[in-house]
Amino acid sequence: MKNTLKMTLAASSIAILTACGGDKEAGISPQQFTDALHLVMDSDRAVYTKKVVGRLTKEEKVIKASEHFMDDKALPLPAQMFRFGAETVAEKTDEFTYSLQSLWPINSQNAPVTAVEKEGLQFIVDNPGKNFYKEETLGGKNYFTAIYPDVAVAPVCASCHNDHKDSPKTDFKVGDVMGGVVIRVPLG
Amino acid sequence: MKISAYPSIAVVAILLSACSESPEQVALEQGKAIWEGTCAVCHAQGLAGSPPIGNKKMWAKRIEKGLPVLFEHAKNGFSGETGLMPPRGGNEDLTDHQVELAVKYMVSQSQ
Repeated sequence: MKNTLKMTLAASSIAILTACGGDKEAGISPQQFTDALHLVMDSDRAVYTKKVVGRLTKEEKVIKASEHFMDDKALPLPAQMFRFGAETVAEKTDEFTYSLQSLWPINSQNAPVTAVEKEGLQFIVDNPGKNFYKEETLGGKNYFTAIYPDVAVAPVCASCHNDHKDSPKTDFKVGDVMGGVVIRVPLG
Repeated sequence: MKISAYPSIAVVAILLSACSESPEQVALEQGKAIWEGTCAVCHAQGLAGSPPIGNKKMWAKRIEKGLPVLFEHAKNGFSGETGLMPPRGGNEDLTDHQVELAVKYMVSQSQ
């Protein structure tokens, strides 16, 4: 009876270990993590752009979208909405950060700072359709940094930047990479 | 000497035959080059609601509409349910034929 019980327990343990993946490594890579984060960010932004801003400003024409949305009682621009989300995440966690940056920022605070940011933003401009991934050390701590292209998909994207008084670049056109989403994850 | 040359000629002929591409393959190669130069910036990974190349789930509904519809959307632009397709992907220099080649290539990789 005791032997039967022992064997049953041993078999159960093996079954549980097998079901849990045994001693295989669990988890996802930093790149899988940042790719998944970016997929959610890009999808949410596309939905806001299409279903909220586009519908209410162009189809139903009930409200405008404006950089000065508070004063104008208008909708925040998609890029602003994106940035507000990044700021809210930064208040909640240090597990990752994200930002929208550009080599030609309207707001100088959104210019690249680290060498990897500068290299990555140039890479996505030079290599359409490709992302940039690299590890970097900042303040003695290692990070995985991923940079995803941000593209002008509508004429208003390009014209808004081209016409803005603070824009250092005035010849954007549809299809251009205007900047990038920088996602940074601490390693170790 | 002459006899020994025959096998070499035969081998070359076979290799040339193996390397020759059909018109369809040539068209796909041309489409791929155009796609990489213009369309990839969004469709490589599906930015801004666009269907990424190779994503059969997203492309199935679009392919059902037929190539003429896809050609028309790509040439003249299209506001779909998930995103906005700019005319000619924003590259006004692309001819109608080039746009069609790029669309055919993207469809070939997504079904």
